Amino acid sequence: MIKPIPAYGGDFVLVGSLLKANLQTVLQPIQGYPSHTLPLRKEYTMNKIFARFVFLTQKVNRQHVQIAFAALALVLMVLGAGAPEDGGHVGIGRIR
Amino acid sequence: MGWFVASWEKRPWQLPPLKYAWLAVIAFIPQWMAIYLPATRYRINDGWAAACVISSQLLLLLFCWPNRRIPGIILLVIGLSANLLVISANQGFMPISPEIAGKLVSPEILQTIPLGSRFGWKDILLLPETTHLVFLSDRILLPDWLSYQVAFSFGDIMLAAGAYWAMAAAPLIGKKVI
Repeated sequence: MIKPIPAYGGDFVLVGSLLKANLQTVLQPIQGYPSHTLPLRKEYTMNKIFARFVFLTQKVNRQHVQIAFAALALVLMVLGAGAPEDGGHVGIGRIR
Repeated sequence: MGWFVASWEKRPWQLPPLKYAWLAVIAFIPQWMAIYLPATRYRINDGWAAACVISSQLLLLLFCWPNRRIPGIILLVIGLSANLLVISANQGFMPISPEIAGKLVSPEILQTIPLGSRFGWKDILLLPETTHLVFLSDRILLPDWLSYQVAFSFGDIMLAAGAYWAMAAAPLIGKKVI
């Protein structure tokens, strides 16, 4: 319950109420600030974000990464070592 | 083919277990910048582009050494060495003769390209008489009845065969067969 401030009038009471409401939206998910009017939000502190990141990266299969890397290496090997020419870009690009 | 062999034998399909795959990625970077990346390839002159191609292929050859026991890699090494030899002997680019080049582009375009200048990105237009190791140059064409034409070298054939062998034989690695 917000007590009105008699010396400054109703405007300040309104501002104070709004501030408290905003404060609730910020503090409630982090500190469990009591509110019966605002919906609960997930708590994402830095530690939890980091923990979630670690969890997600652990779910990436290491073997799949290795397969993708081997496929990339083989493609680059053939692309880099080969020199076929189809004339597709001759006359389009700059010829020096 | 590799997938077919693997599924026939009810084994999971796999790629060849390449070691030091990161080296292939690093080896490709100079060539990627000099040949493939539009933002940089126009800024790199012919001398530097040739150096990029040769250094890139040397690094790729280095990448093949720890993987030499993988089936197909030996063919990749032969193909790469053939291309590297002919490229190194001809100013850092793959030589192509005007006769072969005439099959790929129209005569009007070919007339605008002087001898000794680059043809495409990796090739250089040279007469067969002035080409070193001409038998390793881009002198093989697809059959005439095909609408798509491309010139390729002995090294390119070896590379294609090596890549095919590596992919096809990958499921058999670890078995008594290989």
